[in-house]
Amino acid sequence: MLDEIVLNETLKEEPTEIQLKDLNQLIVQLRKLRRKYNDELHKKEIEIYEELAESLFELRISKLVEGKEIKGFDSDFLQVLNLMKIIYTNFLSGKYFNLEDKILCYVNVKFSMKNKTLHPGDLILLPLRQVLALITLNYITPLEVE
Amino acid sequence: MENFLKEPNKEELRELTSKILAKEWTCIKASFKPEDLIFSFLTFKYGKVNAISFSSDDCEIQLIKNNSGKFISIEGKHYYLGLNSFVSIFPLSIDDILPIISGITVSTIIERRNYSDFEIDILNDLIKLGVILEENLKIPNYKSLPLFFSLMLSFDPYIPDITGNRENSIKMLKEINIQETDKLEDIDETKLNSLIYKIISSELKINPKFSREQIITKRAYYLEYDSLELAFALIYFLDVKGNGDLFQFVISPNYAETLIYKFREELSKGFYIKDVSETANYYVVESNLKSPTLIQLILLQSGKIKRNKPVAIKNEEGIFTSRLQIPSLKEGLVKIEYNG
Repeated sequence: MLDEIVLNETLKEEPTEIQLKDLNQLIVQLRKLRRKYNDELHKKEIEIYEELAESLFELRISKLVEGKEIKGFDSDFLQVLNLMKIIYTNFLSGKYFNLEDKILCYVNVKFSMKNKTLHPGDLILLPLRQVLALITLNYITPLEVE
Repeated sequence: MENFLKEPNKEELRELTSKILAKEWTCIKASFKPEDLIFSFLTFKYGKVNAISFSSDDCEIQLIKNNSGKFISIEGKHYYLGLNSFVSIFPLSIDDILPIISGITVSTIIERRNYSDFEIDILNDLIKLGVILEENLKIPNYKSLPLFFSLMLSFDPYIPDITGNRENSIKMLKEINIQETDKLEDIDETKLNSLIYKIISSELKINPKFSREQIITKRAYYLEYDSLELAFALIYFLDVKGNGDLFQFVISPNYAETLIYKFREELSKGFYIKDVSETANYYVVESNLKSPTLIQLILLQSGKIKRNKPVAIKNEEGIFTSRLQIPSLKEGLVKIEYNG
């Protein structure tokens, strides 16, 4: 099943719409396999599926990076990469206010950091990796040069 | 608790900054005011603070201003600053001259006061790092700008019929034989005295208590930058755009060039301030000047408003105020609903 999806994704220029229901059965089987057996043959089988999953991921990413719209169970998940691309581009093209690798951001929702509560409208200076994590949760918004 | 008994001395205040910079803190609580923000961003730059809260009492460092003066609280212990600006206690280094002198100046503008003795002391210390301190006309950047433009940009003191008005500014100077391209240094003492007389006469119409001391004051310059012009630019962009420009200016002070360029560009055509009406919550002012705080500064001097209410600007696009005027989660100009 997974090999067919990978083949299909390779042959088509546009991203295919992958439904999780098409993969659920396989995921369940592979989980059982991992739990049940510990011999070399089964390990090899799982390894092949891991490689197929990795290939699918790389194919989907390459299409996303080209600006194509991803549909299916992984669309929200892969949007994080889009977000990563936006942050990276904005950072390097001077759209953010920064101090070295840290970016100045607004706080959007109340959250705690090191036992201190920050409120909407507060300001926080964060390294790139934390910016990505907290933007994904909609906790912060980087200030932009207008 | 607070020590009301004695004015703090320079060494005590410097130690205070060292305390802040030495340790890792989570956040600093401040007001949304230019000098608080400049101080906070300096702690970002040199210390280990990485957040500013405008409402959280959790922060280990707090910048406090009340009727008794200013205090810095560190883990609950209050240190008294008198009326001195927060920025004035920062260690002096060549990299931070512009944020420090503009931070001190912006504090005096917002608080409607003169430099304190302590601040003058600091400015004197900065002379050996290249700051020029002189007694001269309190108009923005008279060293670089033609006089008519300097007068046009004079928000404090506000010069009736001249501030914001290019034509009137040129016309007034021509009346005393000063050319459009002349800078302050190009005119002789007779013309200078005539100019001062004209300004004071104009001021007396709106403020009978206006004196020569309000137009001839201590002026601080560094390189081609004037702390007064920079202070106006910082207020303007904090009002109109928000925190970003102020932050970048503190982190890399050569950003001042961009700010001054944009400030002059946006104000070079002049501006008007027309009707002022008072509502339950705002003074609503018809104007094409985008900064509610600079408008407030003008109207306070002309006696048309009191400090008790925020200023909102009415233009073709609607009615706007800013985070410097009202508590707001948004920065830059904030559109408000108004039923006038």
